[in-house]
Amino acid sequence: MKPQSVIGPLLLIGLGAVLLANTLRPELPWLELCASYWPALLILWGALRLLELLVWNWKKRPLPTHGLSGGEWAVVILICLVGSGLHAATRYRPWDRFSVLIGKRADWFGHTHEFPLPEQRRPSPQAPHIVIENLRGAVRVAGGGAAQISVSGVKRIRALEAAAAAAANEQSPLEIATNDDVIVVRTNLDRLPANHRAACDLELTIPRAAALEVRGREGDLEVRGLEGTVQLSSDSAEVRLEDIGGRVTVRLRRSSLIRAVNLRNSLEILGGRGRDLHIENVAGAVRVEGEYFGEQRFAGLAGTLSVDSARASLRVEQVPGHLELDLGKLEGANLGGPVRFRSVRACDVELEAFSHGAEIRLDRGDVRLRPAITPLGALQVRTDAGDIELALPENAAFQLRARTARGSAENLFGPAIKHEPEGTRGALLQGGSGGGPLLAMETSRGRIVVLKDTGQPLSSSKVNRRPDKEPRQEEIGLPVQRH
Amino acid sequence: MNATRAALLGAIRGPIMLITLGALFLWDQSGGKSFGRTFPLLLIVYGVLKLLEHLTAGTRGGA
Repeated sequence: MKPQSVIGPLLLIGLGAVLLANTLRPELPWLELCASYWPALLILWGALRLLELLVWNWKKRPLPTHGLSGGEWAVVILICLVGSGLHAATRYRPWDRFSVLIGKRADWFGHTHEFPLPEQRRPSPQAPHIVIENLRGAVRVAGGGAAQISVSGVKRIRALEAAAAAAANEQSPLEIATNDDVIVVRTNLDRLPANHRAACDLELTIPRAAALEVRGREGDLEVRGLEGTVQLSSDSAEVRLEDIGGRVTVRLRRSSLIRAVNLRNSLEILGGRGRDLHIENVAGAVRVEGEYFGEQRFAGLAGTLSVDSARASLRVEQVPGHLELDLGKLEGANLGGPVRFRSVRACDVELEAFSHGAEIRLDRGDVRLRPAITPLGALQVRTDAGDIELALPENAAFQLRARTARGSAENLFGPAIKHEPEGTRGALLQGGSGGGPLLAMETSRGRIVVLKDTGQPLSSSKVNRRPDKEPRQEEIGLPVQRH
Repeated sequence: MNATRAALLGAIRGPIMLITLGALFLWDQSGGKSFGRTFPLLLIVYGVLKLLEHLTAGTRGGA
């Protein structure tokens, strides 16, 4: 009888062990580890098979004609495809590379010919509606005091010959069309055939009270010093906004950076994918919808902040301090709550000095909270896998119920909180002082720590405190109850 | 004896190719040469194994 290989069962055991480890130690970056070390699986598989064949040969058992069957090679190819894709996705941000490739496709041939656009001026109403249509190229708009619009810039046309570039330049004249209160600035690049890659970099000065609308496909946009509304739409652009009095709406498909500073009205950033967002000093509401994979930083927001993406949603009533959100962490201080945060990906949360409580729901991740502002607001915190740490002001009035289904709970706050066992592997902290709001915290798997706020940064009072850090509990002279 | 060796060489060709493939991908992902540049090594290893197999079978024929 042909001997049966043990490799299949061994690989199944290995796969099961990895999945089990993933559920038991979710904090380890299993996806990244798999993306980096999947080729080791092929080596292990080959080595085991080789060893097995040598043993069969030594025991004089019949050897197969081929060491690996066709089906096994199919599995190998599948592993290679999945592993390479995973590696590319975790390391190289394929969407960035793709956009770079698309952006450069027409730059492979020919030369760039530049055509300066001499400054054109037109009289304008005090508060016109200005529309800029520029298919490709940067647009910089600044508000000025005069009742006029001035446009200048440079056009770059990529063509094989200078004559072809000159013809393309004449084919796409810069136009300024005025119709009552509406002024339309067109670069007419859409008139050019597809084999001429052209871009116009425009600089405009417009009346400060003007309302502005910019439409384009590619090119950075910069607007500053306006009092009217601003609407920007583009397929791909870096956007910089500064000192704007009207409502701002930005519609983008891709962006590596959106920066908005000193806006005196609301800001909407809708439906895009991008990297970084820096929003500072906005008087109105800020709404962000889209997938941003870099750092999202918000500071000095007087209105409501709402951020919605496929992986997380965040809502904060005010951000007088700062708030940073990236793929794995939400961090903020000095916030006007309630703070509502929901993440379906692994994400840690660290908030300090927030008012009116918080609602936090995580599938996986640690939570560290230091409300630090009295009176406290109600807390509702739940994580399926992760630790929770809460630092409370000494004189705070509150009712606490903190439960871990599997893990330990530590009371470093004082006798106002009691420790009780919960089931066979869990623990419960409950109690309170002087009435106050309910602080409800729950983790399915993780440690819970409640302590007095000593004013130290949260990072100095790690949730993951190990037994070697125990002297801290003795220092504050509290009976330590540990499950 | 030679027939057994030829059968063994034929059988271990697959696992050795698999180990080489895994090693090349691992080299690529740990910052070394990209797989796009090192894949010809697979052909070389395959060729060497086939050659050994052929030589072993040939020795048997000559004996």
